[in-house]
Amino acid sequence: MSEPSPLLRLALFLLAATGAILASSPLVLGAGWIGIAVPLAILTGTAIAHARFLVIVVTPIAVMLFVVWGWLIGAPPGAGHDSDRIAGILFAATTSLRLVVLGAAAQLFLLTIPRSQLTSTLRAWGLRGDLLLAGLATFVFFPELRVRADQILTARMARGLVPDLRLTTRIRQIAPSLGLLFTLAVRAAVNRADHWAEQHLFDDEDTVVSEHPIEYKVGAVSAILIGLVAIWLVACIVSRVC
Amino acid sequence: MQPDKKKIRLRVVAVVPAGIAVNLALGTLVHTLKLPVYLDAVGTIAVTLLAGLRAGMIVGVASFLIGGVTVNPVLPWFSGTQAVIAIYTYFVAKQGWLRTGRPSSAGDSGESSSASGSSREWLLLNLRPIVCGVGLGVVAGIVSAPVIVALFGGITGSGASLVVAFLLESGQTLFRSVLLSGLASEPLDKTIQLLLAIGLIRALPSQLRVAFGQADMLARNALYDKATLHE
Repeated sequence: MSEPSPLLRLALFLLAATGAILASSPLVLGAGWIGIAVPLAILTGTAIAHARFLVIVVTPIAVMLFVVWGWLIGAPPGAGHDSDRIAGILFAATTSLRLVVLGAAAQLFLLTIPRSQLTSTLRAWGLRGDLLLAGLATFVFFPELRVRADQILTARMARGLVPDLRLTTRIRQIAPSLGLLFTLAVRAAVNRADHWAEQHLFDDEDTVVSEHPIEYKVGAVSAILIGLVAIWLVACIVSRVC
Repeated sequence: MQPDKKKIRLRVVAVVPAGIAVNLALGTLVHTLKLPVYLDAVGTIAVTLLAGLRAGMIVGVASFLIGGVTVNPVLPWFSGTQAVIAIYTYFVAKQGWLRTGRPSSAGDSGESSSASGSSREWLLLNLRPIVCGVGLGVVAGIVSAPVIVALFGGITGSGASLVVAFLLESGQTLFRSVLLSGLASEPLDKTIQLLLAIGLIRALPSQLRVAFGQADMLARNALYDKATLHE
């Protein structure tokens, strides 16, 4: 398989994140984002998730950072009020771009793990026993919880408590539905666990891993990723030192 | 009758996703609405009370790691705060400090304690959990402050960032602003979360409360009537 192995994936993510934390120049962070992260996001099919993350998460933080450090304080942390507005703006830009790159690294290296390789990836990262089970159960659980939430919403609609299904209306339903949803979720967890116990499903940890072992080769994709992350890390260190 | 150890182990594993879902759903909602609270540890607290320290810590750390990939990359950096929240909750619950003034005979009825009368009465009845919530807020504020300063320049995009901006404008240093903002907003936030988590546990039928092997701890906090344990 030409995809990066789980350990390589994790190492690349950690190195990319380390670079983002070390980088002190908005130019390097911006170049890394536009030159490496964005093309990779397009190639790996995470571009839409990345765009959503930029709009929903980064933009509000960035706007606040620019307002606080570029306008209100007019200086970076540690400097006097209105002493260096440009440095304040640069600090806001660096912090915003650092968040962008950290998010992009997580999306590129972690969000692209194929569902079929989830178990072997979590195992390769050192998750064993109950931790591995809990991790896997989480991914199984979310679709089920969505169904339960819809059931509660439908029941409340049938009683005339929910006028429509708009997003704002659904958000308003969270508070009154939370107790019921939690009870249903806990009951489902107990039922599922008792079923596992009756079937002796997890007496032996090896039964958790039903997949055939995957053999990873350091192919062209892995080599390119290693090269890109190495360039990124060197650029970040240089920007820090110089 | 108490379930055997193997069943309890599997039930604890299976309840972890429920806690993660509660954390992520409430946390995302509050972040989107820019409210000056977080409400992102209700699941951590509820699962710690229900299934013990280990499960609570897994819920807290895992929900922030998963949330970091799927919702908001700011979250994983606060995984340590979540672990501390689980440890603190477990400690105060072990001491029985979350016991409300409700008579224990009404413990399984699922009624809200606010029904007992005026807000003053409600406050007196819930005094211990409220004090524990304030303590939790102080601890969480202190643990989170260095991360907010070092990594995010004081601004995490939550409602509390507005308080940081105001304090910075009034001449406070960055660390002091973040710490003061945390100490101002976290106690209220964590008190609400603790009371919400206790409410979620109370909403559970008593067989489900005891399904995870923490009957003693729940009984110590008047969240479970121990007499039913031997039925």
